[in-house]
Amino acid sequence: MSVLILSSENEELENQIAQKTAERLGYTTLDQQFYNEIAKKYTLDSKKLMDAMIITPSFLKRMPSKQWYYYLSCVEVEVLARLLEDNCVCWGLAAHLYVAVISHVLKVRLIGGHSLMSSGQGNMDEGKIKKIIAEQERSRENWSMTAYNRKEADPGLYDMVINLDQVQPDEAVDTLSTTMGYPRLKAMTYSKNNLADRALAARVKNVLLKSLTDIQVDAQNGTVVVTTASVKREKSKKIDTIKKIAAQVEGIGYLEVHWNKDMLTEAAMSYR
Amino acid sequence: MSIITISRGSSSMGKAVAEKVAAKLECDIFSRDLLFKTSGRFHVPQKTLEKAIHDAPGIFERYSHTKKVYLTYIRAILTEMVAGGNIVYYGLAGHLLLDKLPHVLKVRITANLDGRVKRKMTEGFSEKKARDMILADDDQRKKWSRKIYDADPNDCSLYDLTVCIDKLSVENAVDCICRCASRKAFESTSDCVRQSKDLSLAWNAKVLLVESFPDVGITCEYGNLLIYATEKEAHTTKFKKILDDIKKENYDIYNLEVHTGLPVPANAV
Amino acid sequence: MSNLLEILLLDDEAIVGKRLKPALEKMNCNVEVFQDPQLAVGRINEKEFDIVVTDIYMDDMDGMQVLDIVHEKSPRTKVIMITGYAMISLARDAMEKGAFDFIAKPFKPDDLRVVIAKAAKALGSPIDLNPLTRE
Repeated sequence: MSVLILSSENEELENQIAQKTAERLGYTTLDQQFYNEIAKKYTLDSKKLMDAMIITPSFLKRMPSKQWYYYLSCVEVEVLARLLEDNCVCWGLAAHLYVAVISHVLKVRLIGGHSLMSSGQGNMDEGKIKKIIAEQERSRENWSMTAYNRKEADPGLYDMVINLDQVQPDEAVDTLSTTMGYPRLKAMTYSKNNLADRALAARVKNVLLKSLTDIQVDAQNGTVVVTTASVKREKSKKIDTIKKIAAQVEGIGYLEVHWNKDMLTEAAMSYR
Repeated sequence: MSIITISRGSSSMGKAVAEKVAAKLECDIFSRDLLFKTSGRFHVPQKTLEKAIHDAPGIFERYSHTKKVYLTYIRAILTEMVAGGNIVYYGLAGHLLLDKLPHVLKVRITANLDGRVKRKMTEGFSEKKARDMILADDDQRKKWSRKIYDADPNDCSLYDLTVCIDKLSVENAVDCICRCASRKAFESTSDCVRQSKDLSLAWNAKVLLVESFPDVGITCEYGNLLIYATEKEAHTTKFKKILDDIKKENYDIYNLEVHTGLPVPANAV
Repeated sequence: MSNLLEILLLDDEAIVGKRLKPALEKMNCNVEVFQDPQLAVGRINEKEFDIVVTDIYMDDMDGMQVLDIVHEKSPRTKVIMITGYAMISLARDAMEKGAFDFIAKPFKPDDLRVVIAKAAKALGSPIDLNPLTRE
């Protein structure tokens, strides 16, 4: 049940390398086609769901913050559930941002290789390509920071970064396939439980985000900790609501709700 | 024949990885020896060279070109060593010093801060001291890189392969690097050897010019040395004398030309 | 290999062996429990076990050393590491050294039984877990 998660600003090469690596390893694949399945399951507009994975909340683009976080959460729940099932190569679903450090998950960033692209950018001059990439990176960074408070291009997020300016795609496939075979990346009960905890936390967050905002969820060994904030007079109501809603989720051993005072709203209300 | 540079932050196991890669590929390995050799040939204390390659320029140094001179010395020796092929260099800034050679496999080893602090603590430092030392070292390297090369050492596009030593073990990293070194792009073909020799010639010529003419650019192709200088520079007696010295000292130079009034090409040293 | 799966269980906390032994014996396993790593190693040198379950942090000898000794004596033996101080780096090191699985404490006896069944399957002697799930 080992997992390879790829991330790249070069979609064409990422697709090619991911498919070939999955084929070589005999792993299943999980890519953007999965959005349709997710949209169907949660009765969401699939185009809007895909938009949510690209744009940040905006009233002009008809993507309110609450809806945006819920859409992201639906993707997170379903991707994590799928990663628990099988050996898998996953890309294009931002999994590198929400799958935490799990020992049987290898996170790899593919950079460069723009001269190898068959269409579009392949024929452009270097300066123009660099400009387009810089613009794409800025926009992705903005999205990843808003969504997960992480910079997508930060090497600290990844276990390996391969530069495709020199390394050929087939060579990258070789490197990835060999790396996935290292015993250190073998799934074990401990790492599978870590991933299961992450999936449980995502499920709890998802049911809560249907009606609530300002929710953080963590889980360890089946114990779920929900952290939230509200004005003081709504404290018990919010905690009760969270407990009631979260109880619907299967797999919770014990549930704890940590409450913080929402200082900003509290201050705004005291001036009314 | 492989040429590999391994860049790393302090206490990131880079040395262990480099030593094992060199052993596996039967390559020569060097790090501080570069400074030792440079110091020997140019009579500059090793400590001074180390500062030039590690510490960011101070307020006054920014207005002088002392560091540029020392870096030229270091690069002349490094390119000479590289021209011989089959080496692993894990000293400071290898990826930047050899940025003009595409067949050099440039590797970065990363590690999370907590792990680095723990390793540093095994040298007898307290946790706070170890953390402070690592952060200060990272900061110096970052500043140096920014000031001298306008590059961030954490920018992955400077490397062909970046490996996190926390997820993969030293042995895994060694295996990955050795496999990568055997790829076509990093094969040392006769053309690569020629390029390395040309680069070495260019840097060795620059050594003679840099003190008096720090802004001249030099390219070398198939032993043909092209020097880009201003009209004013080229007409000085000192410049002409240095050109004579270059010809005398570098027997591998096939032809030497001076271009004046032309922009310095991007691949010039 | 006889039909009975031979298991050595090593943990310096007596309660662990006491709790797990009966749970494993119900699944056609012969379980020998040790609290002292030296005695356990002595027994490993005398007898070839199918599965060794060992704690990692113990006073005299750690589980990683036990893992090395077991593999030196019998490469086919599956070693399952258990620890109350689970850390990701430790888990990876154990897997690299050839551990069959790594479980963080606390765990339920059923969790270990699932892992034992997996190890039995890998040894070519699958165990039927179904009677247990009906318990």
